[in-house]
Amino acid sequence: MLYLALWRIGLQEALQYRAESVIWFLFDVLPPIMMVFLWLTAYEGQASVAGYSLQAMLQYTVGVMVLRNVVTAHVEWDVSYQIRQGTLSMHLVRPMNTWALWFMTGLAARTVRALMLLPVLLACLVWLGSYLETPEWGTGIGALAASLVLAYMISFFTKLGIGFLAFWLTDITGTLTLVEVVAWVFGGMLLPLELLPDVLRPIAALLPFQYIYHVPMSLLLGRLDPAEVQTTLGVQAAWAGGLVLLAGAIWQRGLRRYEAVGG
Amino acid sequence: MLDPGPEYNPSMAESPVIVVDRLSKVYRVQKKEPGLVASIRGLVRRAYVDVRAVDDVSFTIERGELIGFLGPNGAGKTTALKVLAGLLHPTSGQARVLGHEPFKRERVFQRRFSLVLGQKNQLWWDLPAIESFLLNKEIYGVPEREFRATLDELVDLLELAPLLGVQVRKLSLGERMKCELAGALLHRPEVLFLDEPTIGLDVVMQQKIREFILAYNRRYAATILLTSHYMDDVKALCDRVIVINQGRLIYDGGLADLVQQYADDKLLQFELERPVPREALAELGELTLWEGQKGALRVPRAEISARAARLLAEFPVRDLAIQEPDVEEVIRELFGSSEVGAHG
Amino acid sequence: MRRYARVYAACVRNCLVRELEFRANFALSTTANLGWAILSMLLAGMIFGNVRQVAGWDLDRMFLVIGTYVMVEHVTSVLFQPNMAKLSELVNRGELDFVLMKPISSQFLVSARYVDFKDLPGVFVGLAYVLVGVQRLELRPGPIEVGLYLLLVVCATLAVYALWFITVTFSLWTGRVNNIAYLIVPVTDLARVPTDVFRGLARPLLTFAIPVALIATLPAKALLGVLEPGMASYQVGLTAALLWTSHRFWRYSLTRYSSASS
Repeated sequence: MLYLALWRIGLQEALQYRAESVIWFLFDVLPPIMMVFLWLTAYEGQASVAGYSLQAMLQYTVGVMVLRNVVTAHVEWDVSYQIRQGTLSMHLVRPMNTWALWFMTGLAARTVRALMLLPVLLACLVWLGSYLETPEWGTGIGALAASLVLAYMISFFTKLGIGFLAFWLTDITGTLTLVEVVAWVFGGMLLPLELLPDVLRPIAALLPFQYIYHVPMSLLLGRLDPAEVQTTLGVQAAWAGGLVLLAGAIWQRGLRRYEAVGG
Repeated sequence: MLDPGPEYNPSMAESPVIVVDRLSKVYRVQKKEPGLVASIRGLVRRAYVDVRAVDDVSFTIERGELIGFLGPNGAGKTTALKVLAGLLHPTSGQARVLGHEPFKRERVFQRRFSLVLGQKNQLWWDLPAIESFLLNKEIYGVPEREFRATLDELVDLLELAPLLGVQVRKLSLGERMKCELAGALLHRPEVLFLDEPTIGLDVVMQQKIREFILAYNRRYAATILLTSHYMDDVKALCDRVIVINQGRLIYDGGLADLVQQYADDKLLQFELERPVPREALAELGELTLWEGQKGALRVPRAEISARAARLLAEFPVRDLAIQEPDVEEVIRELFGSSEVGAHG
Repeated sequence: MRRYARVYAACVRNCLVRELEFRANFALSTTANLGWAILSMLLAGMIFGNVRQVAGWDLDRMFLVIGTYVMVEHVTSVLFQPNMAKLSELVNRGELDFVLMKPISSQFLVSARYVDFKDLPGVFVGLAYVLVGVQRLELRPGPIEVGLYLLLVVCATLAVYALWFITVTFSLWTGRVNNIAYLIVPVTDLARVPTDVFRGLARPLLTFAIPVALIATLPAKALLGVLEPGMASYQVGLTAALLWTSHRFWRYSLTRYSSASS
């Protein structure tokens, strides 16, 4: 019941910031649509790009647009704001797991975004209908669902950890931009990673970001064989678990510092 | 409202409710210097200084007491409160509230107290207060029926009915404070920490809040710790005050005794039949107030009778009263310098 | 005019001192923004490493587009980013009155008060890309081409500013929108790809109505000597129209604002 109440209040809060949500929404929707235009033109000259047919490429682009909206967490803003303002103290004093607050309100924000995305997605389906035939569901809905859940976990706990840097930094936007750059390059947030120069490809495997976007997309598009699917889910789970622990460690140290400066 | 309500059960008393023993809290603060050169130097090296926010403080508080923490700004009152609420870890010494070590932040403990920080909101800013209340119900695990009963009482006592459905950010400061208080009491805490609850409020609202706090204390025998730099809060509510200055506890006892003990002077308040030159009165003592025919003289305690007699003999006095000096003045003297208890 | 210059110089000096105080963030932000600038080329590299050409644009020509985009992006950011952010803050808090009381034009004050140096390195990165492109294409742009290029880049900076200012002024009407200063970004972002890529209504919209083509594609075409005849004049006119609109809209919104809040 508490979790439901937290989700509910997160929903109400998100609805209060409708206008802001629309602007952030544009950030996650205009670039993929731009890429759709580009690919439609680019494939006039050739039939395959880095192993992707036009269909596959469009499916990737539209799919990653969905992921950007639904699976990307933005909890770092609330967290860092509450730390800097000291409102965190009011949370700490109550018999509630503060992480639960952030997790559920984060989910609420994703819910709102998903709703906003629906009309755009439908419009894309109408526009690109012939290209976007139902992708093969890979090894089944189960694996896909698990992959998406784990993708969200990875995104959430990464952003949570970044939010916790507010315990030390007056302004996390610098760090955030840096992480965004890296995530953008090595996550496959707009282009499939097959397009990455060979020399950079291995780096992507060392970072969690591809497990939020590129990997679930590959799974959705049926580009992984069953054995690969297993290992992939395993790696995703490992990343999610590791990031939970890392976030926890930063939280502990951060709290100590928070009260060292008076809460 | 003056009778203790049915919730008060003497056998529940664990005495004492709050025990603080040689508590200290020390901060390391970075030294900042102005100017461009210093800024660049600061990019490479940083200097720190130790601040003793709370310094070897000890006191005990029994169930049902309404205590005032007094002291100039930055004296350590809020820090002490935060330690008791579990937000800060003591640097040395001990603190125990309701038998718990606050810093452990045990859920059981957290359900039994409430913290209201005058300047930090617990309520969600963009939503109606009732939504925050409902969330608190879930957080504290208050059963539906109890919640409704408590809410109705609080709405009644604090006149909240028209405010519940309004976004918190649209409420006035006073309305917001009332809602914050209500939100903090929905789970009927046994201990209440109030930090500057009347700050920024107009006189009428301050009065209302004070009445409410007193009523709550009487009805539920809730132990209440109040910090304020408004003397009127403390005068109206607290029999016992703890005075803290620069982290050290310099007085713990009754407010009346404080005045008695520390005031060297008394006040002679008078009203005259007709106006009289100011200089004539000046011989009798220090004129602290002079309004044509009304005034007040500050007179050393030992000489009060003699001076009063002289006043009556030498001037056409219509009315005369002997008063203790303003508590603010006493406190100010105690600290030597800074403003304490500015009116309003 | 000199007064404005001196006021501006004082603003610049204040901003530099303040920046140095936020040491960790300064270093990080500069690195991060430099990173973005460098990586802007990566996007083109990734696409054109796998595709020979798109609508007549190949990798070498993309250096011109991306370079110009990065330059304009960073110039507008250095000059206007903090001001737009501060302006939206002022609007949100209803604190415009003090701005309105100063004797200097309020639009100037509000638009030029702050300068954000952390984006300055990006300008040079962009310029470097353009020079690389020129060299790879063995272009020898004559004075006309270079002149048109510079003209369009200046127009782009002013046009983006005007559009930005208009979007932020909107918040005087809508009420509080915390991130209104960012609305412009996903729109100008579309300039990363050559506008020729868009089809249907999108291309004319982004060329003649919203100054997206102006940001990078058109200057690049100017440098290549393939700019459509009359296009430069049109874009100058578009820029002037946008600047004029931004000014009128601002003044109009202010009168409505000041009459509403009393």
